[in-house]
Amino acid sequence: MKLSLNWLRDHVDIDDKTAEQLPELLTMSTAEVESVEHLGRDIRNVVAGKVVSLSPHPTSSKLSVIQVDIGSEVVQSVCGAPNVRVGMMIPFAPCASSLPDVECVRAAEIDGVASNGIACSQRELGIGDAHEGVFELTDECKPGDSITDVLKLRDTVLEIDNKSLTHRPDLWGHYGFAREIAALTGRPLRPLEMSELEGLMSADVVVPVAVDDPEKCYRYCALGIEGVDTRPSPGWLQTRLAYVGMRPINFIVDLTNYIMLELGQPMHAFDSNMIQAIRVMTFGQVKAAGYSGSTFTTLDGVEREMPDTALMICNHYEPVAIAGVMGGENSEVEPSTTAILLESATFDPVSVRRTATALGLRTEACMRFEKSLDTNMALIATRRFLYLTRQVIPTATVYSGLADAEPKPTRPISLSIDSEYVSRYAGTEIPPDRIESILTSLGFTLKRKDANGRSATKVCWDVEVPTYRATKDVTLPVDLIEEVTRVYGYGNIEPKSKAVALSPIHQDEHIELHYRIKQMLSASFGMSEIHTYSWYDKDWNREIDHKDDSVLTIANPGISKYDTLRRHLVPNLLAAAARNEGYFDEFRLFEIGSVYHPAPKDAKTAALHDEQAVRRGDALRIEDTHVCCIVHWKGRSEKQEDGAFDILKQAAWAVCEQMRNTTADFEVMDEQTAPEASLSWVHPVKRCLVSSSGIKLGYITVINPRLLDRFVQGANMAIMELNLSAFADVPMAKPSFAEPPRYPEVSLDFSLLVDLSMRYRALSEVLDGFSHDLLRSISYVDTYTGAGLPQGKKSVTIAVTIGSDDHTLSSQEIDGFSNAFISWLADRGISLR
Amino acid sequence: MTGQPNGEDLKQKLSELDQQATAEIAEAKSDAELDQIRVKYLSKKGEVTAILRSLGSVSPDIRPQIGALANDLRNKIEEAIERRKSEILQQKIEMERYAFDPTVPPTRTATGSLHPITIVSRELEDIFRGMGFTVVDGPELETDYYNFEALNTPKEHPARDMQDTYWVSDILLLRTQTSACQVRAMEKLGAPLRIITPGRCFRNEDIDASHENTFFQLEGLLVDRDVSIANLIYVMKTMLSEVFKSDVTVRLRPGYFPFVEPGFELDIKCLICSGEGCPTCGRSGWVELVPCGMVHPNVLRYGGVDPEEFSGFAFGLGLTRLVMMKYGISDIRVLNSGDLRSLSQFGIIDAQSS
Ligand SMILES: [Zn+2]
Repeated sequence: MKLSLNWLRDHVDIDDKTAEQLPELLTMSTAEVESVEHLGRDIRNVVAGKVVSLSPHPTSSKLSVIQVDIGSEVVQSVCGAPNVRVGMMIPFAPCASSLPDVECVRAAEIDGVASNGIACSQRELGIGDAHEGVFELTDECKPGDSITDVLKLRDTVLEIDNKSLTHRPDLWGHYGFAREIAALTGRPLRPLEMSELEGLMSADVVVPVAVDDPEKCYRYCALGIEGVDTRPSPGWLQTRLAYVGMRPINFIVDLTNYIMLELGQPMHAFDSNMIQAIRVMTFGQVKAAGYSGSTFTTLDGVEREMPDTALMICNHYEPVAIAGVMGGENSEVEPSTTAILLESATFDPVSVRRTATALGLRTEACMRFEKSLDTNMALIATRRFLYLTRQVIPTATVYSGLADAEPKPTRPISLSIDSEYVSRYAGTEIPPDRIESILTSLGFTLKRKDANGRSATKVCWDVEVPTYRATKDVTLPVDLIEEVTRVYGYGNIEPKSKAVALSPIHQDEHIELHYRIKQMLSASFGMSEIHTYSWYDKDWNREIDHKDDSVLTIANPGISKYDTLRRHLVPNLLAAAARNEGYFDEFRLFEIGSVYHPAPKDAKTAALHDEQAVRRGDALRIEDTHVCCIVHWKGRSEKQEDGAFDILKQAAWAVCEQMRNTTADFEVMDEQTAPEASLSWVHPVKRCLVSSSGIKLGYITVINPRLLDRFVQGANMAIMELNLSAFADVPMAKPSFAEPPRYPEVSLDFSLLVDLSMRYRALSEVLDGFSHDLLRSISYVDTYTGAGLPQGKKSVTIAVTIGSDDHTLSSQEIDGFSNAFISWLADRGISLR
Repeated sequence: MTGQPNGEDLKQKLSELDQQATAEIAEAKSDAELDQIRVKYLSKKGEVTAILRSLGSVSPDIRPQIGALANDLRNKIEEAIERRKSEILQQKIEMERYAFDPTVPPTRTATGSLHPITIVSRELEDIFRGMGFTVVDGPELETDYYNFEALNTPKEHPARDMQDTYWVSDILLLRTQTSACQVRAMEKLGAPLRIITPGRCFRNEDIDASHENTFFQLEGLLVDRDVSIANLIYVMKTMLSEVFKSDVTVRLRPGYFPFVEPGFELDIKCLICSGEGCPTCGRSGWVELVPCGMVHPNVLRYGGVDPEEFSGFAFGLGLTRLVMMKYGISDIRVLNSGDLRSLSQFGIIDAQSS
C-alpha cells in the first residue's frame, strides 16, 4: 500500500526531520516500508496558463495553435489536444521548464508553426495515465501560478509491505497510519472532519435497507445524495489518488476511492435512478426469490458465473453489486448522474474472501473487507463522504436519509493487564506510566484498578480496545504486549539468557541416523548427495517407461507434468544421472528423501473414523524416507557390472550397520512375489532384494539394458533403493563382545566344485549342516567360473576357520579336520576342485 | 700334492683369496651380491673357513701364523662387505636425493560430497544441540490442520495468501513451512520443550534465479515458564553469532505471522558492509534473516500446552537462503539441479566459510 506524506499531514503534524526518519520509524515499530519515492521534484517552472485564443493549424487538421497567458507573457503553442478551448485553464510548460520526462522544454517548430511550450496532459505531469487531452485545471488559480502548488505535486510516497498489514484493518488507510505516527512521535492526531450525524438524518429514508443474511452482512449504511455531478475531481485530489496508484475517474467515484484510501472503509456509489430499495442477500436467496440466471455482470463489463454463497446487494430482488467485491454494470454512476445512493457497509470477511477467490477478483475493496473491518467505520466514512462532497459541491443535499441496518455491531473489548505481566513477557522493566501513555496514544482507554496508585510496583489496568482494533487484531492481553513493546522499541530490550532446569535431551533418531548414512555414503563410497524434486517429471517417466499404479497428485501443480508425487526416488535420480553423464564418465549419486503414496484402502477406511489419524494425515497418506544410490560408469564388462553390484551390496550392508547394528541379507528377487521385479529399470537377472532381520528394505539392480538407449552410449549403471522407514520394524542389535581366541586359530581354504546355478545362499545352507568341535566359522572368499572346470560347474572358495580353547592345534588335528570335512562334503556330492 | 699342506702354499692361497674377495666386493652392486660373497668365503663351507678348518693338519710351528693370517682375512672380508653395503646404501640415498620428487600430487581416489543443505543444516543442528535443543522431523506431505489451522490460520484467513500452497486434497498439502512441526512437537513432547526441525518446504511459485518452489527451512520452538522477548533476542543473537562465526548485531522489528504474538522480522547487520550499505543488503545495512515471534496462546492451546503457565518463542530460519549466503551461491536453482559440477564441490565437511 502506498502512503502520501501530504495526505498524512492532513491528520498529524510531520516536520521535515520526522519525515526523513519516517520510513525507519514505521519499519521499526509498525510495518515495513519497502520504498520511498520523492515525487514532483522534477517539475520546474510549469505554470497555470489561460488559453486566450485558438486557431486551426495551417497544414495539420489534428493540431491547433493556441495563445496561452502565463501571467508574465502570452505564449504561442501548437497543441494536439481535442479538448482545448478558449478560456480554459491548463498546466503549461514554457521554454526552459522541466517535466518528469522532459528535462528541458525547448522552442520548436511543428509543421512550420512556432511552438514555445507544452500544454500538459496528466501523464506529462506524472499524475496518471490520461493523455488524450490537455488537463483542465478546475482549482482556484490564476495564470502564472506554479503548477506544483496548484496541484500539490510535491509529495513523498512510502510503499508499505502489504504482508505486514494482514492483521491491521485500521492501517489500510492514511488515517490509521497518521494515528501510528502520532503515537510514535508524541504529536496529537487531528480529529477527522465530517458532517454531523443530524445532517445525514435531514431527509426521510426514501431508500430502505433490509439485510436478509445477517451472518454475512454486519452493517449496511445507505445515504441518498442529490445535486451532485460527475465533474472531474479537484486537481489536488487527483494528484493524491494518482500518487498512491488509483486512477482518477470522476469526482463521485474518486471520492469513494479517496475515503477508502483514507479510512480503509470501501464505499460504493450507485446511480440513484437504479435503486429504490436495498436488500442484502446471498445469490442463492436471490434465486430463491425468483431471479433467473446464474450470472452477474460487474461494472468492468465482465459477465460472471455467481456461486450461490456470494453475498449480493440487490435493488429489491435484482442484484446490483457483489457485496465487498465489485459493483454492477446495471447501476454504475454514469456521466449524466446527478444523484447517488451511497453504500458504506461491513461484510463478513470470510464470505467476501470466498466470493472474491471463487471469482478470481481480488479488488482493493475485498482486500480490506477480508481483514475484518469495524462496523463503526461504515458510518464514519458516510459522514466523511458527505463532508468532503460539500467541500467541492456545497449544494449537495441528502434526498434519502441514513438507512442503517447493523445486525452485528463491532463492540469494544475489555482486557485486564498489569505492569508485571508486561515486563515479564517483554523481559525488561517497562514503567507503568510508559505503558499507559503508549496505549493511550494508540486509542486504547486505560483505567487503573490498583487502589495503591502510582507508588505500587504492580499496576493493574482495565483496557478498553477501540473498535477499529477490536475486530480481530487485539483480543487477548498478549496482543497488548505487542502494542506496548513495539512502540517502546524492541531495540530497548536487552538480550537475556534463560536459566533452565537441567534435564536429558532426547534426540529424534531419524535425522541423526540419516545424517550418518549420508556421511558414510559420501566418505566411504565416494557418492555425491543431490536433491531432486518431490514430484515426477511425467515426460521423463514416459521415456523410462515408468508408471505407478497408486499415486498422490497435486491439484494445482502449475505445470501439469509435475503433478505426480514421487513414489520412488529412482526416476528423478536417473534423470539427474542423464544430465551428468555429459560431463563425467564415472560418478556415484545418492539422495535421501521422502516418497509418498496413498494409505492402503482398508487401513484408510478404518482410520477415517479415527479423528486423530485424519488430522495427522496418517489415514490418508504414507510418507516414507528412502535412500537411492546410483553408480554410473562407462563400459559393459561383466566385471564392471558385478563390481558395481558389489559396491551397492557393501553400501546396503553399511546402511544396516548404521541404522540397527544389523547385517544385510541379499535374496533372489522373484517375479511372482516381488513387485519391484516389474519396475522398468530393474534388470531381469542382475538384481536382488535387500532385507535385514527378515524385514524387506529394498533392492539392488543393474539397470535394465532396455533402458540404456536413453543414456549416453556405452554407459551403464547399478541402482539401489532402500526404504529407511522400514527400519522402524527392525530391532536394534545389541553390541556384542567375544574374547579373542587364546590359542592361534587356523584358516583353511577349500575350493568347492558346485553346479553353476547353485546360489551361495543355498550352498551356505548346506554348509550350515556341518558340525565339528574345532569349527569356528566359514566365510566366502570368491567364485571362479573360468577355464579348466568341468562343464556346468563353478568353483566356490570358502575359508574355514578352526581352533581350540585349550591348546594349539597339531598338524595331525588339522589334517584330521580337513579329511572329516572333505568326506562330509563328498557325502553331499560336493568335490574339491 | 699330498701330505701336510705347505705353509707357503697356504699363505699364497690366502693372499689369492684376499685379492679375489677384495675385487669381488668392490664390484658388488647390491646387498644380495655381497651376501653371496659372504657365503662364498665365510660360511661353513666358505673358502676362508676351509683354510681355517684345514689348520689341524698344518705343522704346529706355522699353525699359529697361518691361523692368524686366515682370521685377519676373515675379518677383513667381513669389514669390506659391511663397508661396501654402507657405500651402496649411500649411493642409493644420493640417487634418491637427486631423483625423488615429493611435490607430485597424490593419486586421487573418488571422494563423494554432501549436499550443501546437509552440511549447513548439520552445523545448525550441532549449534542447537549444544544449546539443549532436540532435533525432530515431521512429514512433508502435511495436513491443513498442522500447516495452517493449528497455527492460528483458519480457512479463509488472509494470511494464507502469503503462501501459495500445493494442494493434494482438501486435507493434504505440501507443507509451506516447517512451522507445521510446532504443534506436532508439543503434542508429542509436551512442555517445557525446545526443539528444532529442519526440512523441505514447498511454495507454488515460478522458478528463477532467486525463487524456488522447493526449499529448506529450519524451525525452532522453545516453550517454558516465563519465556520473554529478551530471551528470544538472546537465543537468536547467540545462535547467529555461532552460525556466522562473528559477533552479529541483530534488530527486531514488527512482522506479522498468525501463529506468533508479537511477531517479528529479525534483521542482522550486513556482514559484508558492516552496516554501511552495499548491494547485498539493498543499501540498508541490514539483512532480513529470521521471521520469529512469541508463540500465540492459541497455538500453545492447540499443542495441549496451558498458555497461563507457559510461554515460548518460535523462529523460522531460511536454510536455503543461509546456504546461499554462506557459499556465495547466486542462483538458487543450483541446489536442486543434481549437477555434480556444482554440487560435488562441497565435499563432506563444513567449508567454514562466511
Ligand atoms: Zn551490506
